[in-house]
Amino acid sequence: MLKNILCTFLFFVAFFLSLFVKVINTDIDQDSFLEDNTTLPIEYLLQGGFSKINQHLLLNNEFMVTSLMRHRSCHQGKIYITPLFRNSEGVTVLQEKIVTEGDDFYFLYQGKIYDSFPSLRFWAGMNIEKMGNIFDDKETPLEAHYVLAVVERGPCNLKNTLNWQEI
Amino acid sequence: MEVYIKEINFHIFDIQRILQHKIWYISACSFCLLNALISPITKTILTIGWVDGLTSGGGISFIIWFALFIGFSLIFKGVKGDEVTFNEKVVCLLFMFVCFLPSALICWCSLFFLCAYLSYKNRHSPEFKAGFLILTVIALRIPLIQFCMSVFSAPLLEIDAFFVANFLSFFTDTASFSGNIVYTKNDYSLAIMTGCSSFDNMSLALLLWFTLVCSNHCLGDWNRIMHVAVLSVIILFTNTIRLSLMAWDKSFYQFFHGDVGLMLIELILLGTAILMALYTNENRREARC
Repeated sequence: MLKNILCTFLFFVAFFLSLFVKVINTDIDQDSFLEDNTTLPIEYLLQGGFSKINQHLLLNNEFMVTSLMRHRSCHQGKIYITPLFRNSEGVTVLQEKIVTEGDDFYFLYQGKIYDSFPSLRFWAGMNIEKMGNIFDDKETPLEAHYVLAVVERGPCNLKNTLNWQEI
Repeated sequence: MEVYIKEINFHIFDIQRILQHKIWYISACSFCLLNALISPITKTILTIGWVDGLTSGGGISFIIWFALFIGFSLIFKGVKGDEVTFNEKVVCLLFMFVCFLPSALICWCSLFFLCAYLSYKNRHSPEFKAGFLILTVIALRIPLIQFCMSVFSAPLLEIDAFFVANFLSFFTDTASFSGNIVYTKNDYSLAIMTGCSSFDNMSLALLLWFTLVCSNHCLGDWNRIMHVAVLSVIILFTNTIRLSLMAWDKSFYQFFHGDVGLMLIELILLGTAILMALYTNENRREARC
């Protein structure tokens, strides 16, 4: 009898504890989710020596915002940076609306450069990061997870000259 | 009076017996399920309020709630002759322990493996098997959709764009597509994004069909593949028409992208899946599940 009561008690403790952990980790603000994924990467780039010239929406909602930027090391070229935080759905939109002949089009994810959207790495990274956040106290918001689509125009060649990992 | 007391005693005994046998199954499945669902439900309720959050199903499709209800009803109905074995208890505890990890994906995966295991272990009881199979499919659906829409989003959205552009080419010469973008007029184009993909609607319709067919123990015939294919084609066609109308004109876009248009599509999806399930149930050759 005592064994059964103890088991039931432990079950309920475990049950509520596991639910509590998940509830406190829920980011409830949809606006903050969008903001974290659209403005936060740009803020990091501004700290990393970039300056923002302009920004505009690529669709009729705020899910795809592209920022026209310049790096302090090279003023001749332009760079369009677009955070993609769901999947590769925005790649064709960028190819059709921004990319012109001669442009360098690449993707940045966790400090590494990819020529095509790193779908599998992004999916795996997102799930690993969700779990990792519980164990260490990171400064970045829980839902800020994105791939930066970069369209580079001009002679700067930032793709090869800049240390993206530091940014 | 004596008979009445005996009846009550019988019912209490019956409930105790049922609970003793099934408490492990129901507890373990509920544990995994609630851990998987708690985060999106909390998010929905705290974002749009308690009333709207609860009336919208906590951000979870009503088809999933319905399938869960049917699945658990079947497990409650199931009769288990022998006690839950030590191995089964260990497996239940193991999967419950895994659900402590703060990832909905892991909770869905553990629910999937747990239900698949219990479905196999209780394969001689039609109710248990059907109930656990329904829960297995529910648990498989969400991680699978997330994985496919993350990793294969480009080809999946391109397929939609291909069908939309080809459908529109019957009405206009200027219809074309590139990736997930459909062009109809010079100044107007439609980008098909993840939320509008046919893949998600198709998976919901198939889940509803599977739930209705499985609850009637009509699964097991390979002819059912044909019914799945027909249902998928109908859903694909319906979504193609919706996307084509959205690509045709801005006013159509606003209507079909809004709440009314979305509800209309969901009603068609619901009706088609129910009709197909009724057809499958009527045309069964033999009851096997």
